[in-house]
Amino acid sequence: MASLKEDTKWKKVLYDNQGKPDNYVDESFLDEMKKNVNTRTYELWNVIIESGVVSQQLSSICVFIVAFIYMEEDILSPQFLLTLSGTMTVLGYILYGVIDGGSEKQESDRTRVDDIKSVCLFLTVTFGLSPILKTLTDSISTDTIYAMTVFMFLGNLLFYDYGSTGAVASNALSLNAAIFASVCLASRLPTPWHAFVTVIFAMQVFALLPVLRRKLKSNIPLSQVMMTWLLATIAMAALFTVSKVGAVLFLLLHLSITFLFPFWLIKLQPYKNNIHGPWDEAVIKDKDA
Amino acid sequence: MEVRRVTRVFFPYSCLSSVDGVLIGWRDQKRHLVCVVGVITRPFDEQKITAYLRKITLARETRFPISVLGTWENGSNNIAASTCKCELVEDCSWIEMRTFVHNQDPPLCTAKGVWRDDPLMLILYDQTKLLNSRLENSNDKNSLLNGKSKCANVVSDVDCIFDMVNSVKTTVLCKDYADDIHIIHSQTHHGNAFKMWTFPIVIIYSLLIMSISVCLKLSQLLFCNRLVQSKTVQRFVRLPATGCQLIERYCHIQYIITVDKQLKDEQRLQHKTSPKLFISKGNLLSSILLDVFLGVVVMMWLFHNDYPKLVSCNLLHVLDVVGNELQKLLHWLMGVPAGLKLNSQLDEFLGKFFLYHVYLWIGYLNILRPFMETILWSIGLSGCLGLSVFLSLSMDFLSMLTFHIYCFYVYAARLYCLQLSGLSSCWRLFRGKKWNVLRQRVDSCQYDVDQLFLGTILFTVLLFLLPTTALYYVVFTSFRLLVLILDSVLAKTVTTLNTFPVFSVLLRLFHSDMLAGGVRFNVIQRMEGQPLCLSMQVEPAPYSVVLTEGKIEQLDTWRDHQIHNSSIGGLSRRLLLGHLVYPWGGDSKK
Repeated sequence: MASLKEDTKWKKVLYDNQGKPDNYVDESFLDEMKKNVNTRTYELWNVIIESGVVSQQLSSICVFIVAFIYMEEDILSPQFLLTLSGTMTVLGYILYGVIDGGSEKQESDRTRVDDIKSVCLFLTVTFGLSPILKTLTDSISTDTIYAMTVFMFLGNLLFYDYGSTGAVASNALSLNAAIFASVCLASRLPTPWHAFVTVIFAMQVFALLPVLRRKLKSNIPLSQVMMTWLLATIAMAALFTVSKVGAVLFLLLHLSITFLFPFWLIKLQPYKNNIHGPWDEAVIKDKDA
Repeated sequence: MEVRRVTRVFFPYSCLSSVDGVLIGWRDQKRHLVCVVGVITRPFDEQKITAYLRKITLARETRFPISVLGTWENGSNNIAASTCKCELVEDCSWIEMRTFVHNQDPPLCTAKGVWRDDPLMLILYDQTKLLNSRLENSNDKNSLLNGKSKCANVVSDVDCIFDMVNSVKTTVLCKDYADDIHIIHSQTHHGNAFKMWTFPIVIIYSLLIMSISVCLKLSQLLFCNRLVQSKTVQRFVRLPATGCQLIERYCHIQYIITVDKQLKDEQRLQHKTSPKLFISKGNLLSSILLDVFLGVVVMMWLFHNDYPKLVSCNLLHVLDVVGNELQKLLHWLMGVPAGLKLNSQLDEFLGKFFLYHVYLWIGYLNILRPFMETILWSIGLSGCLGLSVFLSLSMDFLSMLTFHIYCFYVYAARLYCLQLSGLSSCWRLFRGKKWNVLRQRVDSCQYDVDQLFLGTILFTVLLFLLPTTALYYVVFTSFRLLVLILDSVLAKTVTTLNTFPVFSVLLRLFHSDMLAGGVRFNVIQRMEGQPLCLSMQVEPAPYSVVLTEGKIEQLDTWRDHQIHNSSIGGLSRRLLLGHLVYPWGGDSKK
């Protein structure tokens, strides 16, 4: 082999005895490596605007908790809460219909009658079960209840479907966690009527409001910022009346989510160092799909 | 190089002292076996022997062909008789045996003809013992099932010898079978000595069998119509333990009386079934007799000490105490039992529900009070039918008395099971998954909003109510387990009484010849240059084999309910999940 005048170029194969050891590499080493092929580049303002989803959810949770505290201290009467939330729901429903323009209604098979049936079902079941719900956790201490509630709301935040295709998001789990937390809280209230109102309010805040928010976001992008700041203001104001520390904490958290974390994310982008090469697993692409 | 098989010659002890003659028996060329059954002594007429052998063949009592095997000489130096090869020996190989008068050594044995060059082994056996016993081997069952014998490759050589000797019991070995020929074998000197004392036993036995068969015919007339054979009646009769036990005994009696007629001729030809049949019939009969005897003893003892009255007084007192204690227990559960946090509404509801049941049960006991003594007296009287019937009746009586505990257990178990299954289903909904019945696994599922809502509410409710239900379930299950343990002890005793082979054990103790478990070969000292001589002794079977082989099988084959898993793991699993547990300790069909 070495007797040839020009050196044959070393080929990266093992079935040919090229006179070199098996782990030899020449200068074409790592030529086929590519860096950061599929990274997304983020733009600061986009990220800031999109982060509003998280703060919206956080604000709704805070509003709910404040409402509960008011009802417990007897500042807020349940009838008032019920009528208020009922009217807001109806308004939101009309708004949804207007924005939608009828397109999504035709996609899913739910008619207006179906919606009314669901509403009746919720109301009846909750009303029937409210005496049980009230006495459910009588023998469990308040601290345990509060701990469970916090845990469940954290779960709600974590598993909420924020619009991306994250694997952790599970719509069912987040909603269930929120309902479970509301039932835990509802059992601390004085009468079954209170419990009923709490559960219905939780249902509206955690199940119906996200639907409206998603619709608004997809159809009118500009409303996103407004919605975020509206909810944040309401939550902060509500928290301020209950506990100043809480309000301050909420403000800090909100500002971090909106400004600090996106900035940090962008700042960390240059450190990304994904290497791709011929050693990656093959990805099967379906041509017809 | 081909292996030379050793020719084995079996020779009975009883023929050792016979005079000159020819040997008759069975020969198998393939297995290289020769089995001598008897010696036809001189003087004999060759035509008569040929006619005799033909008679045996035509009688079709045995499937082993009997032929003349060779010559036998005792003491004489009658060379003339031995050198002229007998025309009777038609085959190409034969045996010549010779012994001397009053000689302790084993006889000399040489093979002639085709087997001349093969090594020879002489085995002496005791024919009487072989006739009495029967080798216990598992191949027996296979050949019985098929109906025709498959002896050729499966059965061992010793089994063949046993079968062969037993098969000629009625022909060659029967004293009166041979007309003019004088054969020496083990039965020639069999005396009529002990026929005298078997007479009364035979008479009693036949009387017993006659009376039992009359009763059986009567009962068959009564019970063999279509109404009684219908499924509901059959199931209903088997509900209490007493019904099962009585039917089992009825099946036993039926078996004893009618099994002989049910056997077909081929099976009888094999002669394998008759000792086994004898033993099983003996087992059943002895088991019934022992049962009745023990029952009568217990009955006498009970009535002698006037136990029914005593027991009934005590029993009523104990039941009253139990009722009061139950009420106190329920009141305690409705409060704060052991500091556990229970849901007060559910607690109170369940407590009141069970209290009402206890109240009903106390009323039921009050109705039963005047009849208690009569019931106990009649249970004691049932000892006449056997101890097993007595025990079954007491089992049923116990179940009747603790009926309320059974009810409580069933309520609590069903409620707990329901709650647990609802909870697990809602838990799966909580995580967004569903049980796929088709694939038997958990799959993810897109739920509707109202389904999610309802499911979560239900989940919360069920979860917080679980401790209360679980507490009631634990309390009542422990009571039920106590009763079940007692029940199982009684059931196990009844099963043991039903299946223990008394007759086999007695046979093994006193007359162990009948139960052969194997053979043992001892070497007999011989002179130089003579073939190896062994003596075959029949060993009785060990007790473990006797107990397992002789165990009476369950003859009542009508089975409706499912087989209960009675292992510890299965039991704990059922208890944990809230499925009902049933009494164990009886028979379970494998």
